[in-house]
Amino acid sequence: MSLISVEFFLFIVIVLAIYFILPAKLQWVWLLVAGFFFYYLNATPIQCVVFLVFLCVNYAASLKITEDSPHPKAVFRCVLIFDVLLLVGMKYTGFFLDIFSWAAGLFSKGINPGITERLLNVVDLLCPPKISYFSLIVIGYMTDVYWGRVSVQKNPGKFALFASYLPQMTSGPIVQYEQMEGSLWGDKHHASYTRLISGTERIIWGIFKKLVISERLAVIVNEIYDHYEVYPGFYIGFAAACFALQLFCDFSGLMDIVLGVSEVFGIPLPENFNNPFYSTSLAEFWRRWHITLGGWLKSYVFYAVQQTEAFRKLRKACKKKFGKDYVKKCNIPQYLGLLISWFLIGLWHGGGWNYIFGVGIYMGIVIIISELCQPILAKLTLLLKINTEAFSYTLFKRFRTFILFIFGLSFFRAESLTYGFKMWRNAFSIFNPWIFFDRSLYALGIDEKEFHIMLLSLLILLVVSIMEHRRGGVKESAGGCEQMNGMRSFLSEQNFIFRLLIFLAMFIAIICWGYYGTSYDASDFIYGRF
Amino acid sequence: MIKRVGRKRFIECTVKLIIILAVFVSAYFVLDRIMLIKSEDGIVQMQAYYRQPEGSVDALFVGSSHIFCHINTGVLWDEYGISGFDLAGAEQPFWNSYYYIREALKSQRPKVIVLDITTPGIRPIDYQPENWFITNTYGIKRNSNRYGAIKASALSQSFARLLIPLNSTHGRCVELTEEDFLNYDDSVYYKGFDPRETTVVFERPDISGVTERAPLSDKETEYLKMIIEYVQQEGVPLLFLSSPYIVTKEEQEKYNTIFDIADEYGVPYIDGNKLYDEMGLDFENDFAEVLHLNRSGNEKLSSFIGRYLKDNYGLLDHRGDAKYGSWDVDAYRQRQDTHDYYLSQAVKNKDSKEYLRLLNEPAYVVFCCVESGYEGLVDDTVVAELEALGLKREMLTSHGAFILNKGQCIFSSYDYDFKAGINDGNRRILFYRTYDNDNDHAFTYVLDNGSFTHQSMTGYEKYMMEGEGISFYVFDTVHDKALGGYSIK
Repeated sequence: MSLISVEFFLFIVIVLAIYFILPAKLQWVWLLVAGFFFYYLNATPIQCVVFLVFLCVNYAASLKITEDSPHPKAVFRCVLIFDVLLLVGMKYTGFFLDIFSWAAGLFSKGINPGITERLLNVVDLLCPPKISYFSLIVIGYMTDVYWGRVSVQKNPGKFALFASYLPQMTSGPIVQYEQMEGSLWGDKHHASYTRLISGTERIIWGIFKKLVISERLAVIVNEIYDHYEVYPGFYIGFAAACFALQLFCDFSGLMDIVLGVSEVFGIPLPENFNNPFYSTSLAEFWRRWHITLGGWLKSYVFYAVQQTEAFRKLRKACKKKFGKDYVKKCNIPQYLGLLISWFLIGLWHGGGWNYIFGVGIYMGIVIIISELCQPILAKLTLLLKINTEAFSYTLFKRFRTFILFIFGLSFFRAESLTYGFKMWRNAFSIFNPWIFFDRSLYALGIDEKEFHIMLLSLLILLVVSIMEHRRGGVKESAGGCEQMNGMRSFLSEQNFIFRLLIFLAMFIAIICWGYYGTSYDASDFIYGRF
Repeated sequence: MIKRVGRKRFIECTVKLIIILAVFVSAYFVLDRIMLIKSEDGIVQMQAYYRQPEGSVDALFVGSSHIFCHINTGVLWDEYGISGFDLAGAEQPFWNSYYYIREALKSQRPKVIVLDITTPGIRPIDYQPENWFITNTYGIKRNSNRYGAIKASALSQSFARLLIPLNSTHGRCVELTEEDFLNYDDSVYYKGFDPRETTVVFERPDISGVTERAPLSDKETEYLKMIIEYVQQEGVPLLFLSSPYIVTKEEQEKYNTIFDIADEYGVPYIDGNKLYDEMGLDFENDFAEVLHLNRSGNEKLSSFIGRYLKDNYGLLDHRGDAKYGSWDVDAYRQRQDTHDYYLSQAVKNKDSKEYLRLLNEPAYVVFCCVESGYEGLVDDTVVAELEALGLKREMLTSHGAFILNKGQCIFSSYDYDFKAGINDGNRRILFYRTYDNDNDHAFTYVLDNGSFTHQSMTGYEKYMMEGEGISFYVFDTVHDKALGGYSIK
């Protein structure tokens, strides 16, 4: 069931209507039932069984990893291995088979393709949808319990609800237990006009971003990526920039829908985006883009890795080599931790070297280099008397960050790492700036009128993002989750008629300009596939 | 829930929610109306049908383009005073005809329903492509008949999507025109006829020896029988029509099967492909293409059908009855259409005399440019035709631009004040000519809401007169449309 479908919204309306009628004791039970039913609609029975087994194993283990249990460490390690193996087995079998096949090929012993195909078919059959999201959520919870950061949830239903909360099960965000336990159960959630309107506005805005902007940009991106040989030079850069905007509108639009639905339920979810294109460095960019994934890796991988025996030894070695202020000179343990985290971010996005490089290692390396170059750049700006406080300098840094980001992200969309590099080689094969002036851009799958609609939509997006940025972006806290403070808070201050007109305009824009229905095959959300 | 919220606040929120819902639902329906394809392949026919005075349609013609291209309601009216209506859609299958008839009988009680039966022969498919699906369903008002028509026409996996027309039509937002926003207040005058204008020569098909039967699909048979049973139950006489076209043996075999079913139920039928001579059809001049008659052909067929209906169903002659005034307008428009058609044929045949003769028509506003020195270069008969139009002999002696209407020159570029009153609706037309290859706007005039003034070109429709000779550009004030140009060189 697509998130942008009449069926999905009818389903949500029914769930909501019953949810608000029920007493507090039953509200969370109803959410659990609805979440499971939604999952059942989107998965095969055998995939549902795998999902349930995953939940049962983790629930059982969670009761045995508290301090007062015998052998908590062993149980935790076992369940962690189980979770990781399940995730890797389901998502990355193909990737590791490719590597294995390549390695075997070096010794003239290829793998029987029949066996590989059969194995992949079995994995496809078993792989529960959204495993990339719920496995991280549960692993995070198990770690928190093991570390004693949260108390164990003894009620299996509540544990299952935390792992399978309906809106979040569609595509994240990757929540942490302490963010959710206060709102998922406990006090009764009453129907609220304010939340209903605010949530609906957010849903409409998300649909606008997806159907009007993202799908329109996708036409251009697909045209150039699928035929990059005939679109050399600036076309490649244009496609990379378009893809960055497409992915942003796609993923943040998806999040707007998810968070909007959850808001109507009265259960705030953490934001996943905070105007990333305002970032002045790549490190900042990733603190504003897919915030919950970055937060998860920071909490459960980066810090955890830093606490390992190997890293302790490494820190000692660095101290010996570079002195006590090695952190300033060359913080190798931190860089290594960063590279591991970035490798995992890349891998999370997909089992392919293009993901591992483009949205993984490359990003990590650029961040490390920029950190290493920081003293040099500071001296250089001082020498050249550059006013680093000026808006123009901030703009330059934002532009630089955007360029660095879109280069890496372009590999995300490429079919493979080689494909990505070939594309960029083609980008430098010709200098053709005239494509921006001679109407060539109107021949990339959308005509002049469509192109103008796209520009207008992007202008609307820009205006909204400026408002969000000026109002501080993600800052307000609601139920333990930081919330975006921008257009919606501005609208909430306005009169009813004005507010109604704004969203009527959005509604009409979606109906008229949206890519949906017969003529178009609006692809599913890019981040809905994980 | 309500207890915690103050009563006043609760009422305020409820009212606001109702307003929001009402606004969004209204916006949806307005958009749906604007985006709807204004197609004369079925949708406009149904919309116009809803506007017909209740109980006024005596002969209802249902089916495919073999109805709306072939049954000239103007001829039925002019010759027999029959108030007929072509309620048909492109390649309309029986399941859509069934729901069209059900919908039609809600507001009218025709004396006869004529059902075109050619779709199973020409397009024997159980599910139409989406473009034809749209024209055969979305014209019907939102009710059980429309739901039934969509259900019967759509594949199960597309049904939910097709229930919402905007899924198919919203892409039109970049191609909307004036007519998409207009109300069709005058569509009471439209009786569904939409002829083809081309002419193609064919060999006469001979199906006299075809006696074999080819089976219909189960769905076709089921709905054909449903139509018969429903119409008989309603007590309205039914007549099957296999309209004449360049039929093949395989297609005729299908029609033979349908005629068997007609016999079984006692439904009379006309097998048009066996009555070419009776209708007077001429295979050199009367066919637009393989499937359709042109204007000349449909006039003959309509005359034949009108006579048959008059003789067999006792239809009254409504001419002169004020209740049927809209059929007068329709017939007038059809006559004008026919006149336009023959004018276009004269252009096609480069028959200047015939063209000038046809130009002398009160509904035409003729824009004319004259190159100098034409006096003596055209023969007297042409000059006589030109004079009949209002273009005097002395006007042919030098450059000039003129507007002619009802035998009068209502504007001449020799005049100083550049004004000419004309009743042509609200069209704004730019009128200019060129010398050689160089654009010369010396004769740039704009017909703007009845007055004719010298204005700039921006924002106006442009009709360029051809360079040399005497050039004409014709505007049909009945249909409010430009018919194109012609030059006598």
